[in-house]
This record gives sequence, structure tokens and C-alpha cells, in this order.
Amino acid sequence: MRRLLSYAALLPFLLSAPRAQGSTPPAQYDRLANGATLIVSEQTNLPIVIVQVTLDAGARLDPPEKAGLASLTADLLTEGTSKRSASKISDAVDFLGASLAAGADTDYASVSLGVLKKDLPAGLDLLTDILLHPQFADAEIARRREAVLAGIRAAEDNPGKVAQKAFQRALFGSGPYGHPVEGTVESVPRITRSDIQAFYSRYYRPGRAIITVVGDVAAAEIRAQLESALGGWNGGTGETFEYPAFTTPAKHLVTIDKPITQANIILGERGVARDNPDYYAITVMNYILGGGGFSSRLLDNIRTQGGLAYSVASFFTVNKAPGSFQVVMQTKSASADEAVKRARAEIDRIRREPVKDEELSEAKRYLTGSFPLRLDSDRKIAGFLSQVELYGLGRDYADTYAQRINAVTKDDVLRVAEKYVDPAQLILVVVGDLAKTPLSGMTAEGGAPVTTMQPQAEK
Amino acid sequence: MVVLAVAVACVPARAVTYAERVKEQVLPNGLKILLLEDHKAPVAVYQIWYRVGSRNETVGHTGLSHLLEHLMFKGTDKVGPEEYSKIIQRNGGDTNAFTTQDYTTYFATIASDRIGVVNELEADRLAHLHFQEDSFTPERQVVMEERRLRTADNPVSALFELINATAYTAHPYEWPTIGWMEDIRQATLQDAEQYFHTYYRPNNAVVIAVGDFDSAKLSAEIAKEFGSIPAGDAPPAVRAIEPAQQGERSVVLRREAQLPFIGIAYHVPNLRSSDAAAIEVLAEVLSGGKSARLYDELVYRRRLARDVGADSDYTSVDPGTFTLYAQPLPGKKVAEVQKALLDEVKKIQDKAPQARELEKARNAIEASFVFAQDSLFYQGLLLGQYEMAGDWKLIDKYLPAIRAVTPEDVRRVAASYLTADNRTVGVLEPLPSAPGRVPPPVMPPRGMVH
Repeated sequence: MRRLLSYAALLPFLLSAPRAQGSTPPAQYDRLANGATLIVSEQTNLPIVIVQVTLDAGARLDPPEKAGLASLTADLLTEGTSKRSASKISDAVDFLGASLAAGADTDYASVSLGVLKKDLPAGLDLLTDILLHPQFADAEIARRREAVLAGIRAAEDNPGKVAQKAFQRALFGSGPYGHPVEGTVESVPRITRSDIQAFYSRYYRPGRAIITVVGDVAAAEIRAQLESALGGWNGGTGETFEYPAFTTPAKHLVTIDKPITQANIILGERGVARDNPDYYAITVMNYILGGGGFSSRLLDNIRTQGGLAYSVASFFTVNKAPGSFQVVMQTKSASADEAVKRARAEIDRIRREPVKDEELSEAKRYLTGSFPLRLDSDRKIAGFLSQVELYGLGRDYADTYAQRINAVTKDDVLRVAEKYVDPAQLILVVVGDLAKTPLSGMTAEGGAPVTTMQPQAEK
Repeated sequence: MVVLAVAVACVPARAVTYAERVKEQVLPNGLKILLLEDHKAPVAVYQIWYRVGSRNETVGHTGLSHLLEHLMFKGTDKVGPEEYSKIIQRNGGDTNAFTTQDYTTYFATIASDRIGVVNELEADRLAHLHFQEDSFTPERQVVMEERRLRTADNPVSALFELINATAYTAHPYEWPTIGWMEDIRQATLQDAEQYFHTYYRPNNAVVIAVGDFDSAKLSAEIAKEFGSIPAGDAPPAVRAIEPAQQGERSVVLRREAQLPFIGIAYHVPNLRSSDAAAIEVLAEVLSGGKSARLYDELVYRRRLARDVGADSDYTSVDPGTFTLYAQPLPGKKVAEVQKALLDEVKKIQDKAPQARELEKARNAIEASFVFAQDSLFYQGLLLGQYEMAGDWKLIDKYLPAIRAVTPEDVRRVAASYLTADNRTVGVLEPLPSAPGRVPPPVMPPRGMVH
């Protein structure tokens, strides 16, 4: 090992912590007459405007047998309205050099517009048309369904995605986060036009919408335009979603055989919801474990020291309801067992002994010092303001974030590691050439490229 | 005259040129510095570009540029292995690097009061990089894992690697940026060190910063840190010139995959040619959005393809390729989809696009130019790409050249370059899933990340 010298002589800056920016972007909050939340952040650097509509209409609302419904509904918004065909919409958008996209994620659906300031009225007209008057024509549904099914098939050639889907299914089963957002080959053909229309009427309601506008436009002006354009959109908030109780999966090994050169590995379990008060301590802990790139233990151990992987990281997916904790990596088939052992060892270590002072301070310095990077473009500001509102993080979130991170202690890190990363609950997913992939203490069963789930043997 | 008047009328509201905004300086040792102030956020991007990529490599030694990119993080007299990234992160910054056929770029995005940290680290590793066997060996394995991840286990990447290897016969664009697996495996520490000393010289580098800083102050800091690093001999010029292609080439990749894929590459000139702007517009007319010809015809109307597109290679240092691609929908024949792609080529060769279609393409190109300025990183990327290809000031010539393109220009470049004799057609033919084993061929995307 090379000796690590003091950088102080070389880099005088390093002795002081990065300036924590009081960086909440200026924004005006409002509620439209129909109940939609409006957030406007005027940014005059460029003659552009970003409008993002975030709706509580995500894939978690899919009925279990109709996985992919939220996604298909959102996709179809741009495929025809009562006054414009799909081709008319795409032609109008392209002619403006604008972007207009709709899609669903697990917790929400979104429709976003990016347009030159001079074209804002035309852009808003398109946005409100697709949001309020989607046609869901049978021909368009057939097209999208076919494209979604082909996409699912194409994704089978991406071993990382295959592993991710298998992991979600193993962890969440038939729960709201257990299916892929785009659905499955079984569920997508079952979705009918009336399912889509019903989903749209239930969930595309103004009370479920956050409209975020960032760019070269005055708050009063855009508010008036939206009030008028969205005047006919009514329906309040609609029903609230109750999460079904989470069923803890039995300990699992999931293996999927594919003739590839690497083992694509996920080691993970249930995580936390975004509103968990331990979120900040977890963020610090995860940075040290595997979230902090070259500063993290997992990357140092498995990549830098071991030369076993190009990419290795751990993360928590935080949603409205508890998401997952995952370690994700890829290594040549023959190294799979060693990589998994090293990952397990790092998980054990962070649960067993306190992190070093230096690790704690480095994590805090990165997490607080990099905050301004999350807000250095209009697009990023739009995404940030929408997420803060969606997850109810507080409108002063950007100002309080550093304080919350800085309050985390070594004891907190140890406590949350013990509490939220339970080695007994870890699910191991391996996608690879199983005949060449050693997995000690477990029996990996070869065969067709389908998920073979089996109880994991005791180590 | 008329063209000029039209151009002025079309200029977007905020048409400040890059030449007016960028401050350029060259140090006595040849290091070029380009600084672009943008004060919208307290953030800056610092990039250092070296004029070396897989284009500078030789047979049997492919992938050295990218391997060296990894080794640049292995420390100096003052900084330990991988400490570079840790120091940047401890200062709240994000850092990475990428290698292409033409260049190798290291970058950090950081709170603007910390940009000096990046500057010091970059000068330090240019002057004092360590080459040690104990960090070299695991890193070479890491790069082999990177190749497995990006190419060996990615059928579409593997196909494009094969198409390039077929389209080029005499020019180093023939091999992948990440290098062939056996070349990586056999690369030595000595190879990397020698390569470093040949290409990592201030006179072969460009520092670009974009963001919230004072140019005069930053320029002085760069001069202070880099000024004492001696210039080296000019690196050897790449002499290779790809001869004109005389006849269609085709290549098949047969391996396990779910869906077939078709890629077609045509040799085309780069931005040095007066045809380059028309080729850009041609790509936009063909695939600039869902209303563009390829998507509208192959995906929307005829439901032949899942995905389709066209790409041109405007800023490559040597002439690159114009690429068409399509992924057939399940059940559709490759031959039918390929014919549909080529029919679209034929249509535009036979008949110039309508004025409105051209206007739409122009609008999209102009708007994306404005949207690009929303990102500090992307503005730096643009400056670097143009500078590597010849001169960053050419950025300001881009939109005027696009505006001057006529419908007939678009038809003419399609007819002159998208010919059968000038194309290489690659097809991925899926083998059915079987427990039987598959030879692992290989490709990387253009940019390789550290």
C-alpha cells in the first residue's frame, strides 16, 4: 500500500469544510382554484421554461393483475387527444423544438414540457390538452402495448435489469413495489381500454397534482395562464391509497442462468420510506458503506483492492412506502463468490464497529458540500422542487438539509446500520452463467433463463 | 446577402456568441485555457482534455488510452491511489473521466469556491503521476470487468463494435475505445507509462472551466499550477486516412439475444467539410423526434421497429460515420425492416424535403442549442469537442451553417454519402436461448467512464 501523505501542504482549502450554501431556490407556492399545487421559480438566465406536472398516479396504484396500467396510461397521454392525433402532437412538439414527455414511476406519474420562452403559450396548450383530453384510442393502445411488450423482451438482454426485476419480485412479491413499472408479459396484454380510462378518471385529478414551473416566466403570469388553461379540470383529490401490509419474504437465493461473462449480483432487503426520521443517518451510513463511490468501503474493497468489479455501490431506494436497500455489482463469473463474501463482510463490519471520525466527516462534507450541484440548472431545480413537495420535505429543505446531516453521530450510524441492514434478511440475486459461477454454501440450480427461487442454505 | 438577412431574423432572443463569452489563453508551455463564466449557481465545472484517444493507438496495443485514464487516479508523490476522487468528494464535488476515439477528459463539478482544489490536483497528476505495479494489476482487471459489462454482455454494443471494425480498414477508428480484451490483458505498466509521457504534456492539453468564477483570478491560478510543467515534444501525428469504400460490406453477429438489431454505417466527412451542416440536418430530418421520418414510418405507421434512429459524427477529429439503426419488433423480419430503413434513404435521395420539414429540423437544432446552455457540464463538453476537432470558435459557426442548409443540400448529401457502396450493414442474429455456451464477442459506447 502506498503511504497517504497529508494534503494540507498541497491543498490549503482542504482544512476547511465546504461552505454549506443556504441554497433554497426562490420559489412561489400557490394553489390553483381546482386544488392543484403550483410552484414557480423564476430563472432568467436562459429564454427557456420547464413545466413539470407530478401526479399521484404511479405504478404503486396498479391492480396486481394489471401491472403496467399506470405506465401505459401515462404513455398514452401523448398519443392523441380529442382534438389532436398522435402524429399532430408529435409534429407540433417537434416543430417548436420542444420536449413533451409523459411517463410513470412507482410513486407518481409525470408530464413534462421544455420549451423556448417565445413558444410557451403553444407549449402550454399542448401540455394541457394531453393532460385533460387524452383519447386512449384503441389503435394507439394496441401500438403502445406492442411496444411495451417488445421493450420488456429487449430488456431481457440487459442482465442488470433482469437482476433488478427478479430482486423486486423476490422482495415485494405482489405488493405495490413488486412489479416492474412497465408491467410484465403476462399483465400488459390484460390491460383494456376501460382499465385505462378508469385509471385516468380515478387518479388524474388536480388535487393529486404538483405543477412546477422553472424558467424565464413571472409567477403571476404563469399562474393566470394555468388557471385559464386548467379551468375545466376538476375532481378534487379522489381516494387515498392504503398500502397493504408488507409480508417479509423467506430468505432467498434467486439465480437466473444466462450465457454471459459476468455474474450480475444484487444483495439486498427491505429499506425505509422517505419520511423515516432516520433517513439522514441512513444517508451518511450508506455513503460510507457503498454510496460514496471511491470514498466508500465497498468500492475500495471490491474494486480498488480486489480488482473484482468495475461498478459496485449500495443504495436505499426511498419511496412513499419503504423501498429497498441494495448492493449492486457485476464481476466475472468465477469471482462471484468472493465478491459476495467481501460485500457481506463490509455489511457486517459497519453493523459491528463504529465508523472512523474521518469517514464520518468526509461523508458529511460531501453530502452537504455537494448540495448546490443538485440545483445548478433549471431542469434540476424543477425536479428538486417537485420531489420536495411530493415527499413533503419542507419548503426550507435545501436550507435545513446540511443541519440534519451534520447532526448525525457515529452512534447514529452504528444504530441505523444495525437496525436497517439485517444480514439475516438479505436476498441474493445472481444473473449469470451459473455453471461457471461458484456460490459457496448455496445450491445454484441451472436451467432455462427463468427465475428459480429457492431457500438459501445456511452458511 | 439574402441568407444573411434571414439568419439575423432567426437569431434567438439571447444570441450571445461563445466567442464573446469565452476567455482564451495559451501558457508558454502550450497549455490552452478556455474559461466561460456562468453565474447562475455557485457551482463550477473544471475539465482537462488531453488530445489522445484510441485514434492514437496501434494494433496489439488497443485500449491504452482508456487504461491510462484509469491509472490517472492512482496517485502522485502527494496524493495516494484513488485519493483524487476522495479529495474532490470531501470538498463536495463529483468527479469522473471518459475516453473516446479522439480524446481523454477528466472533470469535476464542485462548489465554485473549491475550483482551486481541482486545478491543483490536475496539475499535480500531470507533473507527478506514479506508475506502480501494485495498483496497476488490479486496475487492469477492473478495466476487463468494464469491458465485460459494457460489451461482452451487451449484444447491441457488441454489434456496433463489429460494424466499426468492418467499416474501417486503415484507420484506428476500426477498434473500440475500450480496446480488445486480449490487448487489455497483455498491457503492461511500462506501456502505460511510456504512453503517458508521450501524450500527457501541457502542449497536448486544454483546460476548460465553466461556471461561477472570476476568469482573471482562475486564469492566474491555472498559470501558477501548470506554468512550471515543461512542454514535451509534439506527440506523433496520426497519419492514417481511411480510403474511400468501394462496395457494400456486411457483417453478422450471431449470439444469444432476444431481438435482432440492424446497424448501417456510412463514411461521412466531419465539420471541416462544407457538407457537414447538411448532414446534421439530414440526421434531424430522419430521426429528430417522433414526427421525424424514421420513427413516423417504421415505428408508428408500419409497426416494424421497436426503436429506430440516425446519428451523425459532426465533431470527430477524423471523418466518422453516419449511422442508421433499427431494432425490429418481435416477429418482424430483419430483411423487411432493413429494406424499410433503406427505402427512407432512397426517398430523401430522390426528393428534397419540404420547406416546413426543414424548418422543423432547424427549429429543433436551434432550440437544443439553447437548452444545452442549461447545463454547465454540457457547455464545457461542447467547447472541448469543438476544440479537439479543430477550434472551439467553430461552435459559433454551427447555427449559421445549419440555417444556410437548403432542402436540396439535404437531398444532395443523402445522395452522395448514403450510397450502397459506402455502407457497412451489421445484423445481430439472435440465437435461441440455450444452456449451450456462446462465444463472447464484443463494444463500448463512445465515452468510457473512469
